[in-house]
Amino acid sequence: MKSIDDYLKKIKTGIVPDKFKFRITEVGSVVEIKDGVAILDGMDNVSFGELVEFENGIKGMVIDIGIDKVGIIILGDYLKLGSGDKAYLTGLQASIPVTDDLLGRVLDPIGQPLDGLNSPSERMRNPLEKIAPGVVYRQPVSVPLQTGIKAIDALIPIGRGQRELIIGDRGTGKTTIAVDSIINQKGQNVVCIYCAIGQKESKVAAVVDLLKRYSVLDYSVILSASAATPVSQQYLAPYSACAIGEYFMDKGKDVLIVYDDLTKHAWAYRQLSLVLRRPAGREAYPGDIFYLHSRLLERACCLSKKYGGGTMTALPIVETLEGDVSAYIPTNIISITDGQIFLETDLFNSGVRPAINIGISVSRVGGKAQVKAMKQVASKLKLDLAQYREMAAFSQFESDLDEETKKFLNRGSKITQILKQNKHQLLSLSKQVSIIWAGTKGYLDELPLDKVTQFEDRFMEVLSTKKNEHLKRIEEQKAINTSDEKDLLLVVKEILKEFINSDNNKK
Amino acid sequence: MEKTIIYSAYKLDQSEVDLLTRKFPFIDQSNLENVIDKTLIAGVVIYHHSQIIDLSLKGRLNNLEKKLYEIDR
Ligand SMILES: Nc1ncnc2c1ncn2[C@@H]1O[C@H](COP(=O)(O)OP(=O)(O)OP(=O)(O)O)[C@@H](O)[C@H]1O
Ligand SMILES: [Mg+2]
Repeated sequence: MKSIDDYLKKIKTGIVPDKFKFRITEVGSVVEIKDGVAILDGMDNVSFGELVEFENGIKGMVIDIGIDKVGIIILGDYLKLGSGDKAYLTGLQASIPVTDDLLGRVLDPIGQPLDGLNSPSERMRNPLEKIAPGVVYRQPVSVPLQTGIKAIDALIPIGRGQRELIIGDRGTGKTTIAVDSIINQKGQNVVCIYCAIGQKESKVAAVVDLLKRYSVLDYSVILSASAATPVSQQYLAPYSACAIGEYFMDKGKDVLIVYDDLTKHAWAYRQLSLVLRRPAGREAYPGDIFYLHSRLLERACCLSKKYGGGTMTALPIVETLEGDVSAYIPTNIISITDGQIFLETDLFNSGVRPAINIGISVSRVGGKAQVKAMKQVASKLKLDLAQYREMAAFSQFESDLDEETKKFLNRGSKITQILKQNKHQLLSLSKQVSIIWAGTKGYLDELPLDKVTQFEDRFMEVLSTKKNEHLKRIEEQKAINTSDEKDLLLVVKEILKEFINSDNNKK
Repeated sequence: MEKTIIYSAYKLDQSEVDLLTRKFPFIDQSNLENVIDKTLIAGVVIYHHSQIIDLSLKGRLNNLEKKLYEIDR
């Protein structure tokens, strides 16, 4: 509690009786109110993205400038406005308060709290819209961002500063992958931002709850414009989240930002544009729908050392209908991002979870950032899987297969089984390397398929209890050498023996 | 041409209008209206096209109020 004296002192210093000066203010009056949008008359000298303030204190942002009319998206309760209300230009760009205290908070797109705590301090603000850093500010992606998910870290590696799209139908586990990636950043000194756009409140609450449960909320910021908020807020949400991310990135931190999802963002923008009577193009989206997402995703980057070396990794999510990636929004975003993780309903339903279609998922830059240990085991993995897919397609028509084909099929099915992973059960780099190593070396070939998961659990258990120093070494050296392999082999053989013995006992 | 409107707490006399015109040359005296608004307390507010220049006591007090709130943050 501050005393009255403190306040008085602050007021004395804060209100310098400045010399008499006047300011010319632009004014306009409301002629039309539409869903989240106000059309103003007047305001002849106005610039795009400027903040306006209505008489009753509600703020708005300029997004449309006509000859004698100005379109404003209203950042607040637009039902409180009526036609004839005056609005004043503030001369400021729309911005969001940014401080370190944002960590652990749940906010709306204009920085108001949704978690019932105090509003964040206003000491510093970042503009919502900012031109992405140019070429000279950037450097190539070089540090991996471990998601803790085997299939991704091994086959579709993501680097810090990369933009990797997560795309798939409804309920294929898109959010789960993104949130698991956030959970896996525990102790990695990465600031995570989860931006929910047009999601159900219940789903956002579930994510908040999950992050709390894994005590990772302390290094995360959640920004939500749920399905119930005006489209104007949904439109702004990713830009606000990005502005918060930039604050941490400019401080040299590594940032991971999830946009869940950009399909709903495109819908929100389409609605705004239709209300503003902009010409509609394909699928009724306005002409600048590509720029809408490209300018957002370009802001994720890897800054060069000279400029602080911060990074911002973006995981945008896009929802498809019936797996149709050639629809307008998916094709746009696929062409902007540095790769995509493609999730399929069929795989999900047949129990392959995460339901990643390895064949058409790619990461265009992350390979350079992958650590040596993973590269050592993953190259073999890729080959095995490719051969498996080829053979599996053929073998459907053949009844009797030769030994060689059978071997490939067997290996492939084991590896596919290894790449399955339950949600929120994330593995460290060394553990991932160990199990993939065991699979690609063929040590699991003799094991029945339904025992693979059991084997993996036991393997992980033994490794983390008895071979901890081993895991540590792989983690530090980021490579796996021959003595490591020998040691791992001993563990594998031991467990396999256990399995065979227990089988015999049952018989 | 749109009119320039000067709101003031009391009716302005010619010498006052002359003074304002000298300070703000865009004021065209042949196309000028003076509206009385007692709530301004003192001073004038000039409306010219979509611009306003607030030189009233009321405006200054409003600003003071805003600043007091900002200090509380
Ligand atoms: N690897 C996994 N193992 C087990 N269950 C999973 C896995 N991944 C996702 N699930 C389950 O699948 C369901 C759908 O997942 P999720 O909500 O992540 O999908 P989504 O694609 O984000 O869905 P929506 O389109 O509704 O946003 C959830 O109940 C989740 O628990
Ligand atoms: Mg989801």
